Amino acid sequence: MIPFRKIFSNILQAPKFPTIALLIFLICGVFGHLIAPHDPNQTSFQHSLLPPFWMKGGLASYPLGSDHLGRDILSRIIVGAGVSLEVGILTAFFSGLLGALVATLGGYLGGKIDTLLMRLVDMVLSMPFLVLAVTLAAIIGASKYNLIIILAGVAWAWYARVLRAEVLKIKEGDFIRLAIVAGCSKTRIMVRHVFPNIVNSLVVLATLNLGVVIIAEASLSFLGLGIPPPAPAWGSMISEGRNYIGQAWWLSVWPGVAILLVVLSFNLLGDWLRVRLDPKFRQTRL
Amino acid sequence: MKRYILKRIGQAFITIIGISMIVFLLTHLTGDPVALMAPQSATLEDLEKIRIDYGFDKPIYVQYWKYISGAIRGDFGKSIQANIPAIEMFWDRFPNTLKLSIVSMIFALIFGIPTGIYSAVRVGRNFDNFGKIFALMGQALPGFWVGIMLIILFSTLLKWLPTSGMGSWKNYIMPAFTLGWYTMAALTRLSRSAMLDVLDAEYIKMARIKGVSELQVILKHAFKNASAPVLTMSALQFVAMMNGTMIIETVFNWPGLGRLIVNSIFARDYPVVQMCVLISSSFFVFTNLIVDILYAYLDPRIRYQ
Repeated sequence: MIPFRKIFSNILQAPKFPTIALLIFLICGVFGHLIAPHDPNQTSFQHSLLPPFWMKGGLASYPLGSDHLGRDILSRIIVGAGVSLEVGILTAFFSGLLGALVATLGGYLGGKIDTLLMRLVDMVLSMPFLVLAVTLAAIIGASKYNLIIILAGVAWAWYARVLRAEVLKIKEGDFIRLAIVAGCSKTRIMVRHVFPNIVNSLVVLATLNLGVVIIAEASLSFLGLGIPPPAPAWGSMISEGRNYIGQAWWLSVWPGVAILLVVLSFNLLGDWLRVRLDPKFRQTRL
Repeated sequence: MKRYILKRIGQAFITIIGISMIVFLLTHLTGDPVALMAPQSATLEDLEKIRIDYGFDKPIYVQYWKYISGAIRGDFGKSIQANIPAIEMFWDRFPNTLKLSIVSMIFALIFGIPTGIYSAVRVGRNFDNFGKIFALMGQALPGFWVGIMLIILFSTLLKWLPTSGMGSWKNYIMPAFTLGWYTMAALTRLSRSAMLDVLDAEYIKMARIKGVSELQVILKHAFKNASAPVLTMSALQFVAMMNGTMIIETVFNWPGLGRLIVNSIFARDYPVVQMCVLISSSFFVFTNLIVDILYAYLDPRIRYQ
């Protein structure tokens, strides 16, 4: 039975700004094509490089202006939210799951498996994250799903490192000893007793990691190795705007503001969750 | 202590071997490395020539051995694009990236640490809140966007600073700020929390009771004890800047290693890409090793774990 009432009261206590901002972006992400005032990929040369509505020459139907191909920037940002959030959330989900699996296996079983897995984690963590992601993107080709595989393939190691320390602590608990005495198999202990106890940390890590992943996706798209055009990704919008810095600042300013709002909200929410879910952080000041 | 150091060196060595294998296998990921490296217009004879020139016709372990033994001697193969040894391109670009990173690091240190210390002293006051917002922004803003905003403001609107390239000291200001901001935010957070831990200690109260001046208490008694994690973190951040240089050098057209990697990736110049990834990772592993050994030297508890 899922405690809906408890979940609901917890949501009400969450910090207001990040929750509301994320909800808006989430709605934009899911229903983007319905909300957006224009088709995000509709080009129109008579409306190219229109400034935001309050400036001279701006139109109310293009509130944040339009780009060099006459595409509405607001619509592209709304639809682009879906791209960013999809990549971010799926990456955090898969890397978190893989990281938790490695941490539980290595941390609980110990011995050679642990040594081997931790060496692998060390290796992945000691390679420059973005350099590796860029190289992989260039080799296996840029697409939305490849991007998720690449980012998750690099990010899992970070989860594994943090969660393993947690598993080592849990392993010493009395309830694990009791489970062993009661005759539980190793698999059962890992699935039923160890894993549920790291879920809280996993959720906190994933929320904090989402911001990092979204910036990484934007960086890859900015370099031209992320979401292929003409899909409206925030990173590639900023990159396209670079060529028009002198005459049309709005091309690169707005997508950056969107990234800032999303990442800031995830970070604030992650900090709040950490304090909320992890009793040992309630006393520490960060 | 000796045993611990030897163990850590052994681990670092294994890590580097593993990285070299991953880097080596990267180009074999799609199946045929020749197809990956050859220009699109290459004929079948060209492909065959590349295959034999680079030894791709040999078994994979022979290729790896040839690659790794060459790499130890500093021979990373020839750049396909420029047709000169890849390592020459590295030495050509490395000083530029180093210069930029050093300026960024100095910037991050002289702004980040004092902000952190002062925030800890004034915890909960206006300055502390301002510092917190600054640190939060540093983590939430993508570097390339900050760079473009600076160009819009200082180059196109105010016309104070040049937009790109490398020349006078003016060229350093924007890239160094953009590259250093994230590090500065991290150092602010870390020195703030390290100082907060120390400021509660009994010996700080003691120093105050003895009538030591507040400035001396903060700098000599407190910060001296809080500085260990801050300094080790700075060392790691300095090496981690490699990630940032790729983006920042693209934004500001800085002729450094990051730009070399991006250009080589687009030109499918994989010997150069492999070299850059391998060298920068080794650099990172090596710094990690030194930091760990230093930590063990400072804190005996780590040695005997």
